Amino acid sequence: MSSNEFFDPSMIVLWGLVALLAGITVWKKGKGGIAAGLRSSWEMFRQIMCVIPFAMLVAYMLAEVLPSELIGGWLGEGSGVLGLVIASFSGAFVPSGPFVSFPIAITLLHSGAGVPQLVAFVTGWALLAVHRVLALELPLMGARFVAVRLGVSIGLPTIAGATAYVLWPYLAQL
Amino acid sequence: MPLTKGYILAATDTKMRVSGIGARQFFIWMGVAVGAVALCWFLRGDEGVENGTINYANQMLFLLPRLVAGLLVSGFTQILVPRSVIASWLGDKSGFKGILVATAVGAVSPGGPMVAFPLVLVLRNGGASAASLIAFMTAWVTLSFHRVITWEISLMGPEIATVRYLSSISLAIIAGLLAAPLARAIGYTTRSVE
Repeated sequence: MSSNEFFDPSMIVLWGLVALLAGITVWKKGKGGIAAGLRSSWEMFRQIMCVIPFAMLVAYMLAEVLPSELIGGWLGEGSGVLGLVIASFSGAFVPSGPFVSFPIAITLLHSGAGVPQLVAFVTGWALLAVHRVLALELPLMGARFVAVRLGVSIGLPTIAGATAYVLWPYLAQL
Repeated sequence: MPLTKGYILAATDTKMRVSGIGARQFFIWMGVAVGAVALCWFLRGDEGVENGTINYANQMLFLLPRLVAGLLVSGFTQILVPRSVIASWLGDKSGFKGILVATAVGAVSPGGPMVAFPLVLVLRNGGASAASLIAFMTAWVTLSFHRVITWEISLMGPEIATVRYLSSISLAIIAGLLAAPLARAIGYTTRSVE
């Protein structure tokens, strides 16, 4: 992974996008728009910074401890469709937001999980997250809607993982 | 479909408290982190803690400038694309076209579930079909542009973020297409309020 290069193209693209959006915001909404955008960003940053430095430290310490043969066997590149299914449903039981699910994903990656399995895990968390269904979706949308949405979504993380299985060899070469 | 101005205003005005991350989470996570370092030292010794710390420091250096950029993108998008605009985009389109529009709108919509759910609720009460609602929700969680930028590029690197995104493009459309027959089978109707 080239992710340890501090200044790779993603940095330029991201800050270019920030400049572009800041420009559009000034143009459409004036200086007040910029202030409101900054306030909202700062509020998110403040909340994230309460958790992410610690969650990441936990992720990297656990990556040292977890037996990579075990994780590599269940969720490694060679774990096949079963590995994708296991990853999909493990993702569903991550009981929190992105500041917890992504550090867990990183732990798995450093402990020998394959990229397609990681994709299935992250997609399983996004689509099937049990805690979000129970806390928000069920009370707000009702049982029948939840049944329809989960019914059509249940296989999707595995489909995403299988697609990643086909695509990853091409992207990994870049 | 009567998506009236009243509904759009309700979507804009619905204020839900953003998940309260604060001092309590800070101390809980600090405690968990101390525990994790202790566990690592106990099982792997000084070398394990040293390796973990080096990897951690590299990752945080990589993450911070990208995370800040991602949050600025999120913040400005929220100002540029308020909820009332999203509601009017989804408007009264139905069928396959409705699914495609819902997918595209989900991909550019800002905010997390605390923003998404009140909006979805209002759209449903306004008569949106199960297919467009589910396509929209699926796109929101899997294709949301600001989430990829904020989290995935920062944490997993651009290569994995790209393969994850490309692998998810078909999902909202599949979900939308399957939703109509399943909704009929389960007996969910657009106006059923449970």
